[in-house]
Amino acid sequence: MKRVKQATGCCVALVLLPVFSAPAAASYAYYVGSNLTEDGSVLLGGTGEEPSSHWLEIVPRRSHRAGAVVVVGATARAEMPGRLSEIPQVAETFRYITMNYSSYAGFPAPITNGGLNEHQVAVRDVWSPSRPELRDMTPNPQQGPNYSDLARIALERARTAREAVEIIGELIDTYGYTTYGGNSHLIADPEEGWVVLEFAGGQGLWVAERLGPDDVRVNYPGYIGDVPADYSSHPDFMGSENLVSFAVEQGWYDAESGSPFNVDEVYGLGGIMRSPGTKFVSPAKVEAELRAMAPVSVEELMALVRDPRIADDHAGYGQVAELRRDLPRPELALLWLAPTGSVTAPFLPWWIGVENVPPEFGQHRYLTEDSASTFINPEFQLTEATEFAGRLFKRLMYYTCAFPTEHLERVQTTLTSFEAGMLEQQARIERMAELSYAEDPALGSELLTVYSHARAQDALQLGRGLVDGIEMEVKMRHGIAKPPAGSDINSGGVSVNCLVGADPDRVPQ
Amino acid sequence: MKRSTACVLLLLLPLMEAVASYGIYVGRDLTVDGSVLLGGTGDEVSSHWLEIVPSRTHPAGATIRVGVDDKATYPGEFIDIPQARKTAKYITMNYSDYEGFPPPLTNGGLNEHGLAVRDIWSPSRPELAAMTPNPQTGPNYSDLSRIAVERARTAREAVEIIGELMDEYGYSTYGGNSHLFADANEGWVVINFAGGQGLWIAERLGPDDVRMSYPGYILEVPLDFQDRADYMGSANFISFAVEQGWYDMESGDAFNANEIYGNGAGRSNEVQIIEARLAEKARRGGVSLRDMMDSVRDPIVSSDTNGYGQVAHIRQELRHPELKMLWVAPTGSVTAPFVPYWIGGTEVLPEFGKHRYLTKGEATRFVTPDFSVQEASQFAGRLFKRLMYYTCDAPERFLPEVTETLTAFEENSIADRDDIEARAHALFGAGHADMARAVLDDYSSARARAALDLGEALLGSIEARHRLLVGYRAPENLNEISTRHGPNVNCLTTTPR
Repeated sequence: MKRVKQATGCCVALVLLPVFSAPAAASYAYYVGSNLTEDGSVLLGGTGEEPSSHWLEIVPRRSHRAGAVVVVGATARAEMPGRLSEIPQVAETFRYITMNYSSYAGFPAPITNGGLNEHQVAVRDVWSPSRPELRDMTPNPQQGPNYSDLARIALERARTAREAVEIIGELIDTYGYTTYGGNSHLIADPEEGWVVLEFAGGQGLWVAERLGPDDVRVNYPGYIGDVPADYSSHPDFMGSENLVSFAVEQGWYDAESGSPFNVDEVYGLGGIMRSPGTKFVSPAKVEAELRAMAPVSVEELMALVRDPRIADDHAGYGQVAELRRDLPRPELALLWLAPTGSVTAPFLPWWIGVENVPPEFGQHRYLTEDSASTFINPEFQLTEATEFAGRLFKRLMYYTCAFPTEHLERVQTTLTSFEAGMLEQQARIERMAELSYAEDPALGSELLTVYSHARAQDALQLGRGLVDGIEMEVKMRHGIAKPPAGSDINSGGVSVNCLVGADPDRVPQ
Repeated sequence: MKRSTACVLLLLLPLMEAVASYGIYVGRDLTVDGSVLLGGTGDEVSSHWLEIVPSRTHPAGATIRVGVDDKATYPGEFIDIPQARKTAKYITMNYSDYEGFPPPLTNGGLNEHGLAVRDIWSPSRPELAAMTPNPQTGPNYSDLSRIAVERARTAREAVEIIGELMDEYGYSTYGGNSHLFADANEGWVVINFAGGQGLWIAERLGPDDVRMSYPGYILEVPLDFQDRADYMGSANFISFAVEQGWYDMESGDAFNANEIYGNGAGRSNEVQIIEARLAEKARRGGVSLRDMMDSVRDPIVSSDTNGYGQVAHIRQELRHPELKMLWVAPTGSVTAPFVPYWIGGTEVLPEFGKHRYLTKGEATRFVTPDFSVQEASQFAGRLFKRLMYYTCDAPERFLPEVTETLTAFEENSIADRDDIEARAHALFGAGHADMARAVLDDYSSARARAALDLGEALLGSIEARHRLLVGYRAPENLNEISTRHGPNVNCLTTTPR
């Protein structure tokens, strides 16, 4: 009985593979435990894969009046339609750094995948397709927080990764969950990490697994394997009460079989998500590479985030959080961020103490939802007048990735040299900031702000220089581009990428 | 029921006027060189890109799909109508989005016969808008604009062609529209009314006329317009108004199309100012190409809402038919230069071609690899928007220098024109048409590149000085980068519109 069921699940998954093998958006996240890193920090890297423009925001700590609410969920316009609802706001939300964006699956903007908060809780959001039967069960309209609401709330409310999972779980248990087909979060702090899976179907199904100091984890897509029967009392697992019972009811799992409860097999794509995966490289392969790399440095994780086997035009940005124990001050919590896909964009250091964002890295209209049918709000006139960092580095990506054998190596080594300079200065800058903070908190913030802004301007100069040089070279060597053959400039098909001889979004044959 | 719909539409009307467009016609007896001038812009958000569309032949039985689908503001259904056997070469600015109409959209441009086409909104009375059937069928304003440049040799013929199409297939409206056509002899204003009643009217503009449509208007129409050489229109144009009780044949009143079928506002303030200014120029020696560029660029009409700027310089005698000229600014000409294009040209720099900035669907889909190298190039529209946003934040300080610089840049192109045309003419005469066209392409592309360099230099200078002298201001409300109904960025130094 079980075997038959599984075979069916597997076939369905295989039939559906083309859908999942080139999803319009996907995302990835890498976790490296503290025993496997060079400096004993926990590292969390990755990106969000959404077309929409991404912009940097440093959101201040805020207090909220009693009775305040947050609007969560989706409207009838979402691909899987929903109804917005209100849930209580907390008295105080924490300071955090995030990349916001304007469009995904019809969800209301602004949208986030997470980032880093003042307690060094780092959050990444990654797709994790639920089995088709679950997707089909999703009520219309659905209700409850969506993936972005949960990512934002985790940053706003959690002091540790474990607490973030508890908060997310409780919200789903109480208010339900609005899905686009299955999702996961990878959450980390200086001690540990947690993977949370939120399943489609409106059944309140979720499960979470702890990652320890000796673990690595690649969510690409987000997956969880075997879950013990006593998961609800096990220190390394959490989940909804119905996690096992619902699968038994549906005939997807036989509690008597003696086989472990494998989440990927029961609720996912039938046991293929870790390996062979749905992409050119599988989570299992990247995990093996990370283990072989140990002890992993920040630089090495950046290299893996920008690896052309994985990073392409889909990547909205690049992120590496360096989560350190014994940080002398919370303001020194650090998130490295590339303004668009890091395959051709530099990582820049943003500390929690940085006061604000240069306008070039703020919101612009390029790739922003509805910008073709609306004019600019004059309040944004001066932001829009500035060069948009996201567009600058997309231009570099498109020239570079049109001829990757000619340009990719040179672009990437230029970016890593730029980053190496900053990594080398980091300890000194942080020590100076620490001393300044001790003197006067405003001085400390100013020091970090001036440094981050200066490096952001350097990055723009670097981008302009590279675009100018490579543009000229492309024009000389390959001539002025002929007008494109098609008429549609936007598509959900093959992505622009820098991988020679393969497609990052296809499982190799 | 109908009345309540009309009320809803009444409420919507002021909002729709946020998007407008304008066209300015000056007859040949009023210009310094005897040419006809047609200038203007389309006021649409969506990114605009330049295309030179070659002449094409089509197989017998070929059709084109026209109209709107159910996603339009006034929903409709596509229909297929016959394609012409041959379509003319034309230069146009295409764009991707307006009122839910299917891309690419166009407002016209200039064709190989020297016909220039502009499209301008012209609100129909609310009762007409409310009568629009759902679904509506028939060509939309962009279909008619494109068909006019593809099929017509003269302005009169353009009116006849689109009139016939509306009579035969109907018309898909967004609430009321107009066209302004011109050739070397005359101009024509055509108004396409909302309501699905097939109502349209056209008025000829002669060599002594100045006309600005903003919005498009026609005032008094003689009751025997069908027998007049200066008018054309649908057969029901008078009778429908009588049936509706909007016009009384017995009253002896003139039939004022704007009052009866339009918004009743007649000539807007901007129209009165610019028409009077051009009439004054005409009295003092004639309107020049320069004067027309200045009018199109005037901050009372040119702002962030402009998709581009265009001036068709329709000259009486050309050394070669491929020397017909259209001057195009890549975005609102208040801060963007006009670049010369000849109908004999074939080349558009990637920087002036289609990009994703402000293009429909960009936020939900990725770029196609096919377009990636073009998208890698700098987008001229975005460059000059950036210049506009800095300049128009402190127009007293920055607009004079920008205007002066753009004017000088264009004067250089105007001064070069005779030499370029002489070279092209010599090569055409020697039987080397390809080399002649290359001369035109090389010059247009060189000026387009020079325009980009100029734009970057101005932007660099003004951005640096804006930071130092005015200062950056962060938006207060971080959630609303876009606005549907204004206010819009403009460069007026007095009170904004």
